[in-house]
Amino acid sequence: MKTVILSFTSLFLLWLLLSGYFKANLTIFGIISCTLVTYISIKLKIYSSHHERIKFNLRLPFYIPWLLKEITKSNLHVARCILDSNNRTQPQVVYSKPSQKTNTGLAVYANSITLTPGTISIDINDNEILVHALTNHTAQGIINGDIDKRVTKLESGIH
Amino acid sequence: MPALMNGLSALLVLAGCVFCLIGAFGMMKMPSFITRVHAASLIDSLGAILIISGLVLQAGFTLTTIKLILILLFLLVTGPTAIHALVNTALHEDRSYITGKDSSSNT
Repeated sequence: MKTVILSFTSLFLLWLLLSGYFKANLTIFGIISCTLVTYISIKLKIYSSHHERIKFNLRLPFYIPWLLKEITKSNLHVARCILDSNNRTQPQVVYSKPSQKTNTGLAVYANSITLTPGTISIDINDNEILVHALTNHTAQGIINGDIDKRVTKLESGIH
Repeated sequence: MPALMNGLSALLVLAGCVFCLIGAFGMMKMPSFITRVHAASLIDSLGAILIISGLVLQAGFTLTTIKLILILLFLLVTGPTAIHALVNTALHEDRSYITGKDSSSNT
């Protein structure tokens, strides 16, 4: 019940932000559509217990700037590889052992890998992530496990 | 002050456009499927971030800013998901797309 109310209020807040209407007769349409979405979500059993909920994380404000810095660095690296007239890429496949425990942490780790250009997470086995790297430099970044350590630290703030 | 803001936002949008152009150029130039995907990921990481942050500076403190930040948030989540889906499909279709070798010589 708590989740249903929480999801309804967040949906309605999103509706208000996106529409910008605060008149009574228009807001009623927003309430109707939010109720409809919540009702369908109950029917689809989205609120059942085995789904992990996104929670606000106090370490997130420290993680995002660091990730942006990494994205900028690897962007410049990949851009240099593209513009270099003689082909300097060394495409290779690297295995990475993630140290996260929750599914959310794993998803954040895999997403961060793909978000930084030059590395793509291809597949996830039971305890390994298959990563494709464009150059030796970006592959080294995965082997060093900087992102892995940061995400594990971030994950410890979730619970 | 408005002139400074305009200049900064123009600079950011221009830098984003440069990254989008480099990404598009890389998609044409790169030799294989997987390296082309690497080049394309340039567009939806720094290209999108720089262009949207430039537009945020133009919009100021309005509802438009919140919408732009929401767009960026959704792009940063859905972009890697799409790339992962594309590459994962390629892996299951034919391993040579990923390893770059002939699939018969590769176990």
